[in-house]
Amino acid sequence: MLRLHDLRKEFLSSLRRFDFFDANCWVGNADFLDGKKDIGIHELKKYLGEDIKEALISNKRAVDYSPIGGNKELAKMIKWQKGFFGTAVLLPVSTKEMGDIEEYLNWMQRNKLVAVRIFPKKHSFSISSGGIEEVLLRLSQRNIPLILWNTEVDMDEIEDICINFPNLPLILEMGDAKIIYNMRDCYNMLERYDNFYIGMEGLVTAYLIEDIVGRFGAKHIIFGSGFPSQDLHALAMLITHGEFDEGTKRLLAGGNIRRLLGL
Amino acid sequence: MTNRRYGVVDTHTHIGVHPRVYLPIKDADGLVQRMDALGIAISFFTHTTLISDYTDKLALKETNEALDKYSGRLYTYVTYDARYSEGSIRYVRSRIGKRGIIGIKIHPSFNEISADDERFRPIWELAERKGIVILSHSWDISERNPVQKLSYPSLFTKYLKEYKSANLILGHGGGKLEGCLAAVKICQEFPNVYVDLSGDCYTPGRIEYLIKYIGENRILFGSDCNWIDQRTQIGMILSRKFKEKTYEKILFRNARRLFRNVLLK
Repeated sequence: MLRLHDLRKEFLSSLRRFDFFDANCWVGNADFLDGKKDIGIHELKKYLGEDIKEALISNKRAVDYSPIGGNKELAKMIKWQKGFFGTAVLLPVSTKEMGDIEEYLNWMQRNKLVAVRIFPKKHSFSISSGGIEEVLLRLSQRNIPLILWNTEVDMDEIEDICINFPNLPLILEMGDAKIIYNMRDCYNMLERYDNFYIGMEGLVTAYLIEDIVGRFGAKHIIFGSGFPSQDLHALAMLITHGEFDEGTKRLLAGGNIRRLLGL
Repeated sequence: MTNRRYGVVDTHTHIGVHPRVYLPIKDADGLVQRMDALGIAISFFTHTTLISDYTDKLALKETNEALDKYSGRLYTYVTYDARYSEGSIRYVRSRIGKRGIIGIKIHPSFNEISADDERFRPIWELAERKGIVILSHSWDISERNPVQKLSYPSLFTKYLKEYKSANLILGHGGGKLEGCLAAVKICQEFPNVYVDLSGDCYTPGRIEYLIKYIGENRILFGSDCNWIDQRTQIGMILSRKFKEKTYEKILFRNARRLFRNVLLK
């Protein structure tokens, strides 16, 4: 009789087989059950283990304290880490906190910051203002993906971005509220907009991934655990033991994000 | 995935739909298909509609049909609605002991009545007298969803002190961080309290923390399917390095022991 230990071995080895890329993990202060911890690159590497060699990392300090300072800190942290890439948190150009936007984007890309996050509500600006439209235009020109939380923008605003910037890959992620309540709108977006993607953190409704893949194909789902707020193995099993062929599993596990990032 | 001969027991599932959320798996057939795909032998479910309206005829029909069609695989919690305590307790009493009834489900947040309200007393009296397990929703205090505070773990203290032999499962183990810590405190004080792993509570280190502070004998596998996919909790459990017997306890032995009086019938 198959032992549960054997199932564990089989599950963990399948993580390696499908070449996972975690597109949503974070450094910075995090709350765990046994207290607050500062998650740095070493802790992140330990967490990802031998099974996951590539990740797109974001810095909590860039969200909670200083976008520009946090971006700089993250660039330094990942500089010599093979397989680790970062997201930059950007602001509207109007206040010139990033300096010249073209130069800033050049700096970002030189320093492996390959995707962008913006937080209109946390950082007090309007997503439809001219100041951020300028940013979106430049990202679109460079095919740099934009990641947005469901709690930072309305679905109308997301749809406007997809329409106005059809070359800008937009990844909607779960922020501070469950994304499962946005699914009716997300399905509409998946049907209409080729540049709309969904981060997997939060796509945990029973059989939801199979439902999305069955209707829209696999290419719009981006695996990202949300570590340290979530254990990646909870999400990973949706792929390793999903009702998909091997090729689809590879796309979900990491192929999609690699394609978006041009890796 | 797992072998059905293991007899994995999912102690917290649902059938039925909810207007607020899109659920690809809607009914008992869908639930059992997922159980078969994953090697889960038995699930205990609540029809989602009955949590809001315990008299809904269609939901009652779907529940009874599920119990008939999947006898031995599906069992149901009978729901108690504290807003209509007199009628609801009469209904619950009429169902206890009937085929397929595994326990009583309460949901203080859906009822919008605090877990320590007097209107829940009849359930505790019944649970202690009849040896029936209570499964209650439990969660963190949430700014976005204020009614969740009505199911905060510490609110169950009042009845746990009075009804010392009534078994309670804190569904979702209190929720994410603060709620989980509160659930652990309750479990440490009261040996008749269990936690299940259902819901989207995937904090790294969660299971190790629960084992360390309440022991491995009071942790139950639960998924919250059809709201949540069973693979998420199974993935979390199997990714941890435990002894074989620990996996067995969490995935089925603890549930089979707790519910032995009903499962053996």
